[in-house]
Amino acid sequence: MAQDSDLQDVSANDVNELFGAFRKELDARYDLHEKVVKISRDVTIESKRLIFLLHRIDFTAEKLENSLQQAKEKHLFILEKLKKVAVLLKDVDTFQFVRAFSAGLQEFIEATAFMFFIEKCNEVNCENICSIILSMHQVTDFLSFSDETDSSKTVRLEFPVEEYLLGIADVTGEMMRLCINSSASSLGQKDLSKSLSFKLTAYVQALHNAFSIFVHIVDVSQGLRKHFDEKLRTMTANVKKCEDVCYTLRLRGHEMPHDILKATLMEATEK
Amino acid sequence: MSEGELFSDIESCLGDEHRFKDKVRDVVQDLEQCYRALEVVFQGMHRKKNKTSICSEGRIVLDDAKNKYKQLIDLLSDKQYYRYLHLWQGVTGKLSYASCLIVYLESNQLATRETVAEMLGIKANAENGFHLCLDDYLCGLLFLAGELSRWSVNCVTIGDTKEPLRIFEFVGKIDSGFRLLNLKNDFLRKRYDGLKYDMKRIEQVVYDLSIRGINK
Repeated sequence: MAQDSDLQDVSANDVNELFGAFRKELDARYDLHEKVVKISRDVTIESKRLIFLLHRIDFTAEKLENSLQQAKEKHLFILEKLKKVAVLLKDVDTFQFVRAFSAGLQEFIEATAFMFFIEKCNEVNCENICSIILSMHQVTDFLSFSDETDSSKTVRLEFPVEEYLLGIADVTGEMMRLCINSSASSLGQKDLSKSLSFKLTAYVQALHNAFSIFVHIVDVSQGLRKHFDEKLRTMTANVKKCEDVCYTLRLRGHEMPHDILKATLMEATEK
Repeated sequence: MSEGELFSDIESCLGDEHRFKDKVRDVVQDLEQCYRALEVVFQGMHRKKNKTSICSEGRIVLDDAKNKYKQLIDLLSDKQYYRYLHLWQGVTGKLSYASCLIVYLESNQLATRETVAEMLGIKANAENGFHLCLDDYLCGLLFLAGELSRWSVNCVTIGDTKEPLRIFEFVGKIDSGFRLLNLKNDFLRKRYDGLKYDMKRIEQVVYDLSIRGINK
């Protein structure tokens, strides 16, 4: 192998050095990714708990304020975790790590949207229900934190609009559940169109309308597109379930006692 | 607030993004075209074409690619690199491979990340803006190993029995380099898993040559 002397320039040492540097770079990136994934998992779990907490709220009880307070505290607790993510990613482009915190973020958006609704549903009617839909802008505001070392600066957790859409799409599932569960108490209302079930349905319909347009104009990869299509299908199913509840409430509301009606509604929506 | 108002900003945002991505995709398509031209040029090496002419033809196409990268850089503002990275990541890996191959043919050297970045007219470091992402560079090296393993076989066929030994040394170095990395379960890892087969193929060629006493 006498002719191979020209290869000597790239000696084994050089290769070691070169790839040693690559290892450092990759390790640093993977570590950061892993840290973000861990926090994101916590955010997901806590957001799910917040959603359950919101489902347990009894609207008729006087303790409504109290429970809402509890929910808000939980919400702040989750925000603290998201702040950690933002701080971790302070010096890098957050878009590089979107996949690491995407699951947590979507769950957070879902929980926040749900909380918003419960908090404010008494202030609106079916016509202006859109005013209590959590907007992209509001989410961005939530995810702007003040920098601890320099209070004049803000640390932002930036994310693509798809994340917001996927998060907000999920809330319709929770809305649908609440719609069924609250149907009996809705019956007690004099004016059905002011009942919780009707408001929930209006909310889900509004979201569904908007989403069915977005699905067609959103420009995403093949994999994400499937995800969007599936979300839309679930949403459509949710809308129908809600609408069925309203239908039954209106049509048969006068015919049966409330508890039997609720059982009928449950049965109908399980199909 | 009505439904329309609430979501109109999102709608326009999605529309803008769609148009922007289309612009990026147009340039990426041109880059793909460059790569296809390079592939045609490289096919020559399996048929005993002069190395120098392959390299000079290759460099001409790469200069074209350089211009396309310049267009891409002009399109993107500061914070958009990672947002749209996936759009050009594939083709950049391939063009990185092409650059590495040219450098190897010219000098039997392993092209560094800096060299490749320079050949493509982009930066080598993330801090300096539009850069050659490490994954793409490494992916390019793995593509190179695959192509060289094929070439080692064809070298023997066309009567060059020295080149396979050089390829063996060279790919061995790439292999030992990759052993230093802690790879995750991603596309790079998958590519890397193929490296051992490329290595094996080259070893086989070298073995076949030495057992027959060729090159003694």
